[in-house]
Amino acid sequence: MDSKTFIESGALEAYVMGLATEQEAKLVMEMAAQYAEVKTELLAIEDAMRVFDGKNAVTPPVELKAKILARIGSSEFRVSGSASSSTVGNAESETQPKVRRLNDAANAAVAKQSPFFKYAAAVALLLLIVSAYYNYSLSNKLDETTKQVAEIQAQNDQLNSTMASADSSVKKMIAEIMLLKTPAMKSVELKGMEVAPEAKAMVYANTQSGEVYLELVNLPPAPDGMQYQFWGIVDGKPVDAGMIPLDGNLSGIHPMKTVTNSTAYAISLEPKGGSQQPQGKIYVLGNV
Amino acid sequence: MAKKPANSLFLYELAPAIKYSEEQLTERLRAQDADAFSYLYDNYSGALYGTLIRMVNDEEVAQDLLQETFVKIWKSYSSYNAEKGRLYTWMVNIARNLAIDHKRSRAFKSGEKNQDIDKSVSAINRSQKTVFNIDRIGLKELVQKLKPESQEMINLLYYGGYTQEEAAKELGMPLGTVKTRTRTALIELRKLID
Repeated sequence: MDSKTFIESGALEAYVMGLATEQEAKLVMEMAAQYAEVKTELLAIEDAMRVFDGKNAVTPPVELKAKILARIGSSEFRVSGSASSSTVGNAESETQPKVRRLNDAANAAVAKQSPFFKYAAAVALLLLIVSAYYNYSLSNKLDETTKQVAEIQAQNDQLNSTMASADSSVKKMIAEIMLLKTPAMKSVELKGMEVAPEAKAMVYANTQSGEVYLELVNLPPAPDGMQYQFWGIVDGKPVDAGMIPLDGNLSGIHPMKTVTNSTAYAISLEPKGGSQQPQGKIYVLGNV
Repeated sequence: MAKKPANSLFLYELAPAIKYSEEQLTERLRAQDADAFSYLYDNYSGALYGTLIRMVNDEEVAQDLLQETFVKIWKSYSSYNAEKGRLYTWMVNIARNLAIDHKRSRAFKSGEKNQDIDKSVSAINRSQKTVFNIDRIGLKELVQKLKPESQEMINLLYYGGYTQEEAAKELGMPLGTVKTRTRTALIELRKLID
């Protein structure tokens, strides 16, 4: 086929418009390779269609470019980009701007094309600052709260120990009350004698078993080397019923030595360690 | 680029004004140069988008197809052979083929399950009646300055996605006539844009 007939057949137009079959396309390639005028006509048609489309151009929405670059940048670029770009870079680095990674281009496109992203970035930054401030103030509050918790913990510990001692006191008191409520228990008030008229003690005596409990209400401190001694009076004779600690502290109602059939109780001041028979002055005395 | 919003204009002016020759561009694209790809988009997205809108008559679909087009350009760039034609011709035919696939699958989905070519063509025709009536999107139609027979060819073959055989059947004329009219339309079109 001669070139003129081929050109006039419309095969070139069909080829450019993507309408040619595979066979027709192959023929176009062959003819264009063989005849310069076919090649020239082909290029003219291509340019015409490009210009025609250019005149019919519609600008796509600005954000579309960033979308496309983002889609491409996430996969293809890194895999195959670096090896081949270096050859171009070497050849043209002096005259052309450096080859950029597509991600950079995507970022640039985001910055360049879409004010939305700028606003989004500004808002994100603002939120970050606000968040940082809240973190800071929350952190301060946390410190404060930790301190408060420690204080409360200390108070709690103190309360617990107070409670424990109160609890043991209560238990002791209950035990004392139970003791005093024993039907055979008899209370005897020991009154102050001449040497100490203000002195006072209480005795609780079980008339059946002979158990005796002493409670010191008021007794002057024993002088150095001296100690109070507790006595029961049986058949008119004093019977040793135990020593009172040197510091005079019996801590409440205190069990003493068992004395049966005692008609009276007394406390005398004796040399330290006590006496077989009372030698010192009687401080308190009471009859059953 | 005529309708660029004012706020991005300033940034566009700041962008480095790089001009590539077609050879430089193809070489850089082969090297997967992001700047070259960006340049390609800036220079040809409008032409491709305009073509896609005319083909599918739906801006959202056209935008999706434009995305697919550029992704495909990037992915299959290595298959572009400069000896077979211009870069733009290759690109616009990627876009057109995507649009044709979209139209055929839509026609297929809309109930025309018969793969018989006649039915398939008429399905496209029915779903694309609007192709001949795109004024409603408000596009200036350069094609309307052509003679009616030429308009018909461009609308059917270029925007309608018809093959020449399908167009011949649709118009009830011999394939040879369609081919001749295609050439006539293109000659007219070349005069128009000069």
